[in-house]
Amino acid sequence: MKKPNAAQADSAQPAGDAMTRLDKLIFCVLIVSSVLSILFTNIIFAKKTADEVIVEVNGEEYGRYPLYEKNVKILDVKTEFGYNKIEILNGKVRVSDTNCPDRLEVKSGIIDSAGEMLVCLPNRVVVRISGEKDVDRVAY
Amino acid sequence: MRTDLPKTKKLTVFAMLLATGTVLNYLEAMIPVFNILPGAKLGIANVVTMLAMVWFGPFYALSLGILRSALVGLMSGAVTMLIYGGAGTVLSVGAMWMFLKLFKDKITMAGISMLGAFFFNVGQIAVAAAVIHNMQMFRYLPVLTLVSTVSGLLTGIVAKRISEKQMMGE
Repeated sequence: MKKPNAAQADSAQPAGDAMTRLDKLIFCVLIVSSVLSILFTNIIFAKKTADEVIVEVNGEEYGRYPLYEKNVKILDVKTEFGYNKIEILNGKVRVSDTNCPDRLEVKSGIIDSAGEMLVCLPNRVVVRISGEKDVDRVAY
Repeated sequence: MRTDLPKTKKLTVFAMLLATGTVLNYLEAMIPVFNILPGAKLGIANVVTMLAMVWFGPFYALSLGILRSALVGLMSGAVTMLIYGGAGTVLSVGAMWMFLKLFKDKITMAGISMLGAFFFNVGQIAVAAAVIHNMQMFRYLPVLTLVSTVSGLLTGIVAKRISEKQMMGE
């Protein structure tokens, strides 16, 4: 099946399945840099004390709630953008119900460490655990 | 890129590519595995965009990408998602074309595709960060990049094989 070069002159692409050095370089750079930045952000955020749940709607703070609750705390966030039901129990947070179409923040499950967040884009709701504001202290 | 094709042929092939891309895009949205990571997808429809780029040039690829996300947005009912996909498409087609021009015979479609996938994620996350006014969104970029580099490599190889087997107008 391999007909060399007759058709390939047109596509200006190197022949065959072989990747060029630049291809391999791109692959390595993307993989290595993303792995490193995942590790890096995890190290930074792991040191933070996670003790507050911050709920934001449309970029503005809606409320702050203690992360460690003995009894389950249920927040009903009803705004002009939509409805989200947030549950906090003993260091764990989840969104248990919403009226937004994709329900991605419900499917995302439980968050429990500093800097983690649940995002509902259609309703412009962000639920996150405090900790990221201390980045400056680490960055110097 | 072919410039000697009659306009009618370009138009019909473009329409066929658009239809194929829309169906591929719609089908891959049904693969449930990718629901774990919001925004992550196989990107197999990008094969069609890349073919339009090497066959007809960047403007065809760009309009194909935008029309495709508009059609899929209307079909799936998630019209707001159109903005995220749209920003990603513009950025990724631009980047793919730039790298294709800069490194013409040093880069294959596999490399182009990985870069396209990366810039798609950047556009997607930039819009999301702008919508919720929260730069924290960019923490999600490396996670998406990890997945998209692998899927971009696979779709790039597919696009490369198709473009080698099937030359337009021959």
